Amino acid sequence: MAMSARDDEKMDEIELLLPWRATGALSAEETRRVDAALAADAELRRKYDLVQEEMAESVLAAEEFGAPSTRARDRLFAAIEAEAGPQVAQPSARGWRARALDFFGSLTPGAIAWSAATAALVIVLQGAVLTRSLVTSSGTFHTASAPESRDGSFALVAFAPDATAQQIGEFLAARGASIVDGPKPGGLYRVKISATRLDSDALKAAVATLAARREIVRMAVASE
Amino acid sequence: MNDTVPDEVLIARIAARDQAAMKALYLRHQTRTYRFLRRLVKSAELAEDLTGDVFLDVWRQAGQYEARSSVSTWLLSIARFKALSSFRRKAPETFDPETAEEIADESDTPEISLQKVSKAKALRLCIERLSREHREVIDLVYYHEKKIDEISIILGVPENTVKTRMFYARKRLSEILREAGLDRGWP
Repeated sequence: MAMSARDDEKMDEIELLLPWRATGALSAEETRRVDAALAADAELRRKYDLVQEEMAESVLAAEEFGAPSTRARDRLFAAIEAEAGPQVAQPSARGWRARALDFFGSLTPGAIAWSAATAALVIVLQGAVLTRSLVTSSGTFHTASAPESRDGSFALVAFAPDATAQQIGEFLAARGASIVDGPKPGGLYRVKISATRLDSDALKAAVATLAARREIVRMAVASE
Repeated sequence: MNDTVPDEVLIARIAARDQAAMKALYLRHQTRTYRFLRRLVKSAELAEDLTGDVFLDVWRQAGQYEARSSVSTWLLSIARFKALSSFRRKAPETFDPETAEEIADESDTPEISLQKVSKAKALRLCIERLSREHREVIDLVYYHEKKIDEISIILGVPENTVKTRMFYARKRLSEILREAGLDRGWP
């Protein structure tokens, strides 16, 4: 049976995707489409063999380049050392930023990977997730984590995807806030926003202040 | 430092001037960054210098990192920019980024004789004879295993252009192989 122009176009698109099929860099749907085409077309399979051959030799060719020398590394870190200046212990400087960073570092790879993988989905589903699953009838969040110190007031915060680490750090520091837990499902962080227990109105006001910075905070709600 | 710490966490630590995190990130990505630069600039010495420049930028600008792309994609984007800048510095009066991308680079590349090398080796040598534009897209796809959208970010071109550029790079590779006496039967 003669192929239609549409079939030709579809086949061309499939052929363009072959290199990414070889490296496993296609979506599940694209992979399924390419695999179906490969199963049905011997000529396409021959072309795919060529792609795999190219891939193997490209990898070998890149590996032949070796690695940068220790001289390059030493020079780089000498430059960094010169810029950073002497590193001295500054206990008073271990505020929100260091604690937040220590916290990030303490997360298990699985927890972080999970958070990263769901981040994009969370943006889309944010409204539904927050309203249907996490917010209780009282308008506050319940978390499944072990309770931390009850001292202080807390919010659950999701940061804007475009916010940089520096922006988030400065934003929290300016408010005397710090991350105490997270990321939780949905990319949420538990943030301590006051060292004292705020009454309901004050807590709402503090959370509203956080949420007002939309370029930094995607959403914020009071947490018990 | 634990080598399972995600890149994004290392970047956050680097933004807080953590040199141990900087060393961890460097150890993790130095080789791939260097090899990408070698592919672009060919000179080992220049590639080393540019690799250092890339990571010095990371040290200085980690706070500007936005998680719109992976850290490795960000690094390769910086590396590419450094390579292009080095070309401009090298020949400021004659550099034309448009034509420079199109011209196959045959300098310091030995003539390929299939009587002397294996088919596999010939393929590797022919990759070296591609234009810079074609070499880099082949490297990003096959060695760095980057997705189409990631390559689009690194090269600053639409995703469809990434796909067609890869196709033409492969086609040109086959043509060079044919000229060297190895006909793959495609295109």
